[in-house]
Amino acid sequence: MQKSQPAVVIGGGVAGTTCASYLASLLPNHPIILLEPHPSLRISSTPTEITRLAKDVTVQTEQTKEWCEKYNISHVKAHARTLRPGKVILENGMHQPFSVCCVATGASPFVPSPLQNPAFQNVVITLRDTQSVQSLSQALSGARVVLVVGAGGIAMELVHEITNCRVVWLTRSHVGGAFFDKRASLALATTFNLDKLSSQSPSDPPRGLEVQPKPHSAAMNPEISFSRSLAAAAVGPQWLRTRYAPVIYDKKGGMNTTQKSIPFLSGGYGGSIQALASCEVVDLHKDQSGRWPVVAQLTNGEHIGCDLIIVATGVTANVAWLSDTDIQLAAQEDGRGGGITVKAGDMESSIPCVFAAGDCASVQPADDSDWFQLRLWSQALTAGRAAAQNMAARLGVGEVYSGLEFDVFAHATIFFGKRVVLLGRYNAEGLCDGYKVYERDGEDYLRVVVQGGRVRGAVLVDDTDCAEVFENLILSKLQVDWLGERLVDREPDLEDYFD
Amino acid sequence: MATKVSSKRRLKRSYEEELSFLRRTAPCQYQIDVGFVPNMRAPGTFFVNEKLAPLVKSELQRFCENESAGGFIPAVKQIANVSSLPGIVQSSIAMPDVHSGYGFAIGNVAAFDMNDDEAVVSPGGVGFDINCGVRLIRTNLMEEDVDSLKEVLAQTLFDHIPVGVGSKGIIPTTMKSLEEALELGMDWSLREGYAWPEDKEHCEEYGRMLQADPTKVSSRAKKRGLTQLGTLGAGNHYAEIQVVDEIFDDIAAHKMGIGKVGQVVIMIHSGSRGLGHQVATDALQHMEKAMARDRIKVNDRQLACARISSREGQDYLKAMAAAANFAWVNRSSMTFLARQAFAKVFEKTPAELDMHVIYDVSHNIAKVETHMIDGETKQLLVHRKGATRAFPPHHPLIPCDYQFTGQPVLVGGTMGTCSYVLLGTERGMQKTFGSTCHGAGRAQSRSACRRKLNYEEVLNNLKEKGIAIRVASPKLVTEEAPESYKDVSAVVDTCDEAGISKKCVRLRPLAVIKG
Amino acid sequence: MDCSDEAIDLRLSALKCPIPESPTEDVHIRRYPIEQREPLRRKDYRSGLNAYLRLLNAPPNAYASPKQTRNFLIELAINLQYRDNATRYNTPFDPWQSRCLPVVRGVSNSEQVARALEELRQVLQLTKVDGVSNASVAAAAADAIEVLTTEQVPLPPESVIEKMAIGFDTQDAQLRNVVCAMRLLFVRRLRSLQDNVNTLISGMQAITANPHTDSKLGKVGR
Repeated sequence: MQKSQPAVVIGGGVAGTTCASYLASLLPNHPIILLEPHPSLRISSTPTEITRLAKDVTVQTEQTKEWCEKYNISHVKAHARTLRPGKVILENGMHQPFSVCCVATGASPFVPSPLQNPAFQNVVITLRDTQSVQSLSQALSGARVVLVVGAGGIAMELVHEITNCRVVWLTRSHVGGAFFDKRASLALATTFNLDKLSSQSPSDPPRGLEVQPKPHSAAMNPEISFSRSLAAAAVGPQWLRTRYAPVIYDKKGGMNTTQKSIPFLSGGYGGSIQALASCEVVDLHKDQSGRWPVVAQLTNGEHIGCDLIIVATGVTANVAWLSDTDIQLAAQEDGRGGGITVKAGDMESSIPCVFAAGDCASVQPADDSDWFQLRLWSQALTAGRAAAQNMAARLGVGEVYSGLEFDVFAHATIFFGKRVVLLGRYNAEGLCDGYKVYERDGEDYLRVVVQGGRVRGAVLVDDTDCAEVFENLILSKLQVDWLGERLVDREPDLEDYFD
Repeated sequence: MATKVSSKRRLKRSYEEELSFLRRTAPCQYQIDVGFVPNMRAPGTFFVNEKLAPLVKSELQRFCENESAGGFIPAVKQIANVSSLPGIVQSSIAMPDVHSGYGFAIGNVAAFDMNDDEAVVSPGGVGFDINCGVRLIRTNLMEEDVDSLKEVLAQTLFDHIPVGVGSKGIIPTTMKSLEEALELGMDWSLREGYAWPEDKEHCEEYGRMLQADPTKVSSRAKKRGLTQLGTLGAGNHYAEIQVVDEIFDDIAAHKMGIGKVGQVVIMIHSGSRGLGHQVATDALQHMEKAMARDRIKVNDRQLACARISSREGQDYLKAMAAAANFAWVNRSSMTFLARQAFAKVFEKTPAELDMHVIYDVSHNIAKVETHMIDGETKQLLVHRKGATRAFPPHHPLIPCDYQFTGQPVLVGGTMGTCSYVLLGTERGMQKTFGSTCHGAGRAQSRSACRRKLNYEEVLNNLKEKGIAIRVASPKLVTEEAPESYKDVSAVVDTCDEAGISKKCVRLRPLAVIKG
Repeated sequence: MDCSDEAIDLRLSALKCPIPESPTEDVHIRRYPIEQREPLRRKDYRSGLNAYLRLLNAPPNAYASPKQTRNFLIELAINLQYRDNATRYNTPFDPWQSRCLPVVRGVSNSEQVARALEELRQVLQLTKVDGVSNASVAAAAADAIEVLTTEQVPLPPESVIEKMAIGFDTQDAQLRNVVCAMRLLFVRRLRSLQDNVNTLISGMQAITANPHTDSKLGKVGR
């Protein structure tokens, strides 16, 4: 390795930009290059902390040129073709040497084949690249019904964010499948069944992606941020499965008019969601009556007319370009996954001085940790920073990464207007027998996984104040078997008790 | 009367029988007689008035009437269990805001004779959040100056004070600087240039416990501390902009620089967070193992302890001191940031705004102190968990400025309720080893509270009172709601009546920043 | 201050006063003419006592309890005793000059002072505080005398002095003043010492502060 060569980051997504900007702060006098063909980048702003480890991440787009200038990073606008020791070979044939390199090429959406129908590409969009945030907001403008396909994290969060139109949500297995197992999902049905309507006053700023009714659609702000706003219980979609049904297109041409009308709350905010579990799209048709740009035929026999189909069904790591190297990749599972293998915290691939971060990586957790990889922005952020720190250390600056983010899995999100915090092995992932699960449901939901007397994981819905307590308990490995099921009781004040 | 056998087969007493062990010995004082729990070497004492006594008793009643397996022991039992620890001096004492905690109740003060070979030190007597404490900073601004800028101030403070991880600047990001901070405490902040020398003067222990030893802090604890330094923390940690509401002692208030009603102050309540938790947990594990070797028996497993002179005991005290230092660096960082925030909004330097630290107190800590017991001076290891040191006038360990008035004691209320500044008294020195309450304990558990209160309501309530809120996560509100706390005024009044501290100033919140 | 009989006796013996075997009024105060003392000797002396106290201009708390009454009377008796002596020897009333503590005056005589203090301590059965030698106590006392006689201390208003906590109770206004004065002087010195320390620390900060400190932006370090 030539230490004098620049540090190169390949990819301008969340992981890549985090890595590059952190490198810039650690190595102010060393050349840093960001390899990114797009004119705009996805960057994350300072995350807010829910608990010590569960962060709320906001992601924005910024113009590549300006952003790189701000951080004193050189921008090379090119695709990478392949990698050799000590250099990246670009598409145009040029070589870019490096001392240390971070691959952050992300992952591409996996689109189920029925949705790849070329005739409908203008109404089917995926959410994984920079451009689609803009096109999404534009496309959503004026939409009456949107079909969201997928149970991934993005889908879960997106479904909540869309206001002002009806959403039909298809998931392959059970609702919230990416995060919750079946049991939790059932319990949560109660929790999320909001029967109280809290209204947001018309003057309050819109949350998430606001869908403007067509007459008022103005040019969309290119800097739309996918924000996870925190003032939960503001008006949002309500899961009113039995009371409201989407517009169902009758094959014979008539519209099913037995459904009730959509409630629009004061100020024109409102929407509804119908979630259909174990349901997939079989085919796409044109709408004979011309009312809808597309009609989707589902496995349950229904036909749904909609203005837009959003695909969020998972991703495949963008590592095909490395197929001619001998870099170690993880195995794929039914067409998805399969990233560059790295060890948690270490972030170095099998090729020396080549690190990987973000969705393109498959991170192997440390043995006794309670962490595992999910393709989330918060994890991309952490990975980017860890990689940068290790890269700088390799160049002799600073210390190697020694933080705790890879010790406990932690994710915070909003699901149906309620804050959800997931900690550790919340589904008892990877635990052999002998673990106990304590649950409490009702208006809030709490699940704690205990093994060997210590807390190994927790799911908190709505009642997330104890999140820090459980995180502490997981990290400290304090013995709590004497508490038994009182761990999830409402009465004892756990947070105070362990103060 | 129940006979004492092994802990497993002990017959349960009825509530009335248990009550007979609790005797009122003074208007606000109760004694827990020996025999309430096995092996008591001294009685227990707790301070409550008529308003608060029922809360303590009902906890006991619930315990008596439930066959509960989950080991939550009521506070009075915990106080008594502490009195059965070897080396306990005089009595295990509890403050009016006492409630159950891990091992020791929160609000428990217990002193152990350093010259007694059998005497022990227990991490449960300090708490998990080592050196959780409160700092009060004054300004020369008045409510009128700040009123229209409340929201801006709250937002600026929020932006400045890291409630998030990864903010650049003030937090040392290397292990080396963390270890320096652990060793040097506030001296580290001074060295780096972001604390004022006067801050050190007005801080308990002068912001640094000299016996700190970073090598006794596990690497896991250090990892946890690394990115948390300078952050507010969750739960009951907060920063509040407050205003002087009522003054009870003019001279003392003037001495603190807050002699005018309507004057604006900032209160920061924070601790050592994950690092403290880890230090405590590590120590509990080590001590549990050593207890068999040293033949220490306790009534409750959570009261894991070690002989003060043993290696485990000494290691813990050194690690605890390091964690305490960490918390002081934390509070110093936030002080610095609060000063910057105000300077930015008012366009004056912090010095021009007279943003001096009034005092900084700890309420989860153990210290070696000299006290007069039966006419003799003794060296005692005083554990204070959820209790604050309150030394009287002319005590050598309190700052020069407060020699005549006594040590200020900062009692944080909660969101929307008032906080107090109290003063240490001579009587407190005699009765409670110079200790008093730390804040309002909880009347209802947080979750019970949440069910009743709708957080929007609470938010609106606070807005109506003119209090601006900035919170990092919506979990803020309901359980921190005023109703869920034992009335802080009742707690403070009880301390006043019992003579263990006296009221000086009451503060009213204007804005809250919570993690 | 401990008002038990033993304590009072101890103090009196320390002051080398003859312990009043007979009622104080007879020997020392002698306020009433002899005939009128009779009521005081009787068992039901209370009302007579109150009248007596009023005559002596006793402060309010002297009436509170027998102990306090006795305390007041003895203080008064001692005062008068000294006053008598003072008149006899024609010297101004100066507690430091009494026969009982002559050695303290002699600053150079630290050995003697130390011994005398030790004697005093034993008689009064005071706790010996570890780490404080008699010599240092003597030196401190000498220092205090010098300071009291030379330095000017601006006394705060009477109301403040009244409220000021001095760490123990006493009715004697003069003693109180002396103690207050000493406390004020001590704290003043402490304050200037502390100010010096602070200045020193500031000086150190100018050298050691992280060069990246940018106070305006609230940033320190990298």
